[in-house]
Amino acid sequence: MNKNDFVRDDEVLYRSVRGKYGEEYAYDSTGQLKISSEAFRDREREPSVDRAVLKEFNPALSKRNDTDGVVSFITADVRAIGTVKTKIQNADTTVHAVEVIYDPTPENPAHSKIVVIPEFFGSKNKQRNVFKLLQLALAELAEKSGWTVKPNVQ
Amino acid sequence: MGSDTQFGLPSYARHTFHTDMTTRMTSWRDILRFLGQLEPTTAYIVLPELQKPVEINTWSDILRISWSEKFTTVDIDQEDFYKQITQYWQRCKVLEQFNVLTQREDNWDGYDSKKPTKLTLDHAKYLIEELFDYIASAGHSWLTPFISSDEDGNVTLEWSGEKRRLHIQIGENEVEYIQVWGTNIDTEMHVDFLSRADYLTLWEWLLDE
Repeated sequence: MNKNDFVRDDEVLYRSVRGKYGEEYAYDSTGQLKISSEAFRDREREPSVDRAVLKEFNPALSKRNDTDGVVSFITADVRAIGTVKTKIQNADTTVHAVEVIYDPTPENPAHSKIVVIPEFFGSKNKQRNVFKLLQLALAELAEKSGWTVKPNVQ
Repeated sequence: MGSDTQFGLPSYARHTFHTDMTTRMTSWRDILRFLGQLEPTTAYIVLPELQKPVEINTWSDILRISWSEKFTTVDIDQEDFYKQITQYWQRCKVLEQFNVLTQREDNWDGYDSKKPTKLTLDHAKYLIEELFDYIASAGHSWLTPFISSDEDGNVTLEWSGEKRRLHIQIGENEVEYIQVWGTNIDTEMHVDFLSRADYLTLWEWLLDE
């Protein structure tokens, strides 16, 4: 594995959010940004993100549509969503239940994906809903950091 | 929603309602219904004290009128009126959001997501209205949710409060909820099946009451 294939903990990730007010984002009565977990929907249950370092730190390049907004995550925060520890051969090793994997495509060399490893989560309910939990956690993180690029109002 | 009596005006004021539509407005309920239309045209109310038509185009117009000094002499319970009109408006808004889902086709979002089935939509609409009624009846304020559907075609409701988030996913046969009070999947989220007995408990939890 090339050392550049590993997404470092301090790397910034960009995610495009559909610019549909009231569907995937809204503002409450105090003007506070609210982002729905549905902003991180993905049929394969592996939400796509872009590595900022490979987008020349230009978040606008991560928009899927002109009207979309962009939110950012720190990779370590994403991994901390579901970090668990396992002990391997007398050494404590951290294993990430939520991981960020570099997955470049010809169209998007910065493309990466956030994946979950369901077997790390105990209850049946949690295993079944683990992707939904990931979406909710990403929405919480996105709300805390706010827009990196605001959507064009629709 | 209450009966017509709750929206009724004193008998001496009823005949003063006029509109440029052919239907005469004789009660607040008529006005609410009129304003709830997708493309309302202008309506006018003639109040006895003003002796001239007051134009109504928006909800804020009617609220402004209801709060005006002159209107208080018409003896309307303003607190109750405000509560009723707010609930009516919130219900319309929720159903408007919900109706967007009925228009969805497979791959509606470009991410290959499935459209909700008719059974899921019927189930969701019933639950949303029931939840709304439980919350309104208990005297709690309603918060506008995100209403959408997920990749499998489940209808999702989500409220993001100041510190807490509540997510409900509605399928054809079952409903689950997720409480969220942080970002850690293992320690700051709780998943369970939803029953009527949970409605108010969850709402009070969301509002931190």
